Amino acid sequence: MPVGGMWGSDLVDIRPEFFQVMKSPFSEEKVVCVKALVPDYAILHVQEADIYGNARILGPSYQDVLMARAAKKVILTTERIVGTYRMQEEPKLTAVPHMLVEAVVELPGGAKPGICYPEYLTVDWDDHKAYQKAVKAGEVPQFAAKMLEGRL
Amino acid sequence: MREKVMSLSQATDLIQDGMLLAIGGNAMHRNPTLFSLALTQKPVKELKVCGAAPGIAADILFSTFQADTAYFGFFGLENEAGLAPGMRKAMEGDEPKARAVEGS
Amino acid sequence: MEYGKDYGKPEMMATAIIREIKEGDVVFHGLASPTPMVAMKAAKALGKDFTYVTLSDGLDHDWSRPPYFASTLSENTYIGSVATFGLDEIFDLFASGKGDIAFLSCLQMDKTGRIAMSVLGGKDYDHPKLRGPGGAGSATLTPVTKRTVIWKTAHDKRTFVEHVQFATTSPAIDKPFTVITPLCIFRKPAGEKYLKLDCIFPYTTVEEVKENTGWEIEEKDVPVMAPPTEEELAAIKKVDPNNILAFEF
Repeated sequence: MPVGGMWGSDLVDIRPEFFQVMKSPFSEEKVVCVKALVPDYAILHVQEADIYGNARILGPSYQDVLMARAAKKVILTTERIVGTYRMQEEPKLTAVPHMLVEAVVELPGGAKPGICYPEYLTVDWDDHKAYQKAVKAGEVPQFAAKMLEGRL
Repeated sequence: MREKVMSLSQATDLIQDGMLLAIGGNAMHRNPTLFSLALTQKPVKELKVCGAAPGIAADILFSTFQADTAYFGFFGLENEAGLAPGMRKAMEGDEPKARAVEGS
Repeated sequence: MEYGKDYGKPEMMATAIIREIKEGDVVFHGLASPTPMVAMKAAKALGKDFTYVTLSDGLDHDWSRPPYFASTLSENTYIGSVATFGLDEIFDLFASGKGDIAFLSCLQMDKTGRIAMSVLGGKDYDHPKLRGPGGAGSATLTPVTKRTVIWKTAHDKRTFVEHVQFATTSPAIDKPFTVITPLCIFRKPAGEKYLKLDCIFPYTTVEEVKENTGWEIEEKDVPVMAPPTEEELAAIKKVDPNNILAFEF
């Protein structure tokens, strides 16, 4: 698909399997094209989802809405399961509709040691340092086992 | 509408070798971190990840060398949280185990 | 206002950023951008009328809520917004020529404004010594933004080098391009290829700038930018009681 920008970037030349420069079919203009990615799954952590996979994102959505539509299917982890009435109250606040979703996992704290507005607003620095240490030591699976106790 | 609630373990079983995963959130914000940590408990490999800024949930999969390609605009954890240590471990030096495809 | 007593390098850089913004501008900064964030909040506090878009979807958020950490992705740049406007919409807005300033940064830069954000050192792109965080939108935005402004809180020969090996992005020839450092401002005018020393800050000299820049600076006599005014300093203090501005220095 054609995109704006990218001129003057060495990235375009180094990844021909991802970037190609083409002549516009409508004029003599040259256009940078990128390969469209079709993810097998979009993995999203949200604040609210119902049992069918209708999901609301509170605060910044980043690119989650786009990714949900680009992917073949969505897997949701959610701070809490809510009633479908919550979606019906204001349908346009539903960021991901159920038919795009394959799985809903109720997982409070699912973005830790990171942040999930408005549930937890700062990084858990102790756990983050433990993660950085685990990466160096090659012990992330052990770190994971500790973080996941009772949650699998 | 069909009910789709399942356990974290059941949900991670959906992920197969070689799949491309779009990772939600940004850097340290609303990343599906526990889902990625759960994937480290499984033998799944050769994953590809994408996102404007895939963040810590993607970093985890590079730290264990379960992911081999990242499509991204920004891959870091931002300011106080630092660069992405797992991604760097997998991508730097003479024998990198993973590849970057930067899109923006 | 006196350097070292009333203000330091962070406040001077923030002031230079504030002065770049014109009434009516549409202005963007990305993630990991505490310095422009504080400056833009202060510009709002000074009553400057411009549109402020960020990665947290917020458009013209409530600037009076103090940031409490350096992340520029949090609810701090979202709460009190008059609209949401996501990154994908921001890219489209700028690509269609409606974006005035993007405040971006770099790991390294050379005299033509070629910017390294992807990799440093090592054998090649796929075998780097340092795998950087990537352009974070700068490759997309730099060619299409009316006035790209790079801010960099370090001014040394490791950062400002003779030649950038791998350019994540580089300036458009037909557009102006500005670089704000703790010591000075470089500008590449529209239609030109090289950065020129535009002005220096009150506490430095052209000599000091030369000693800390890896490319040859030909300008000898350049203006000195006026120090921050009392009002500018008061605005910076007002929006940033937790001194997040100091984070990058």
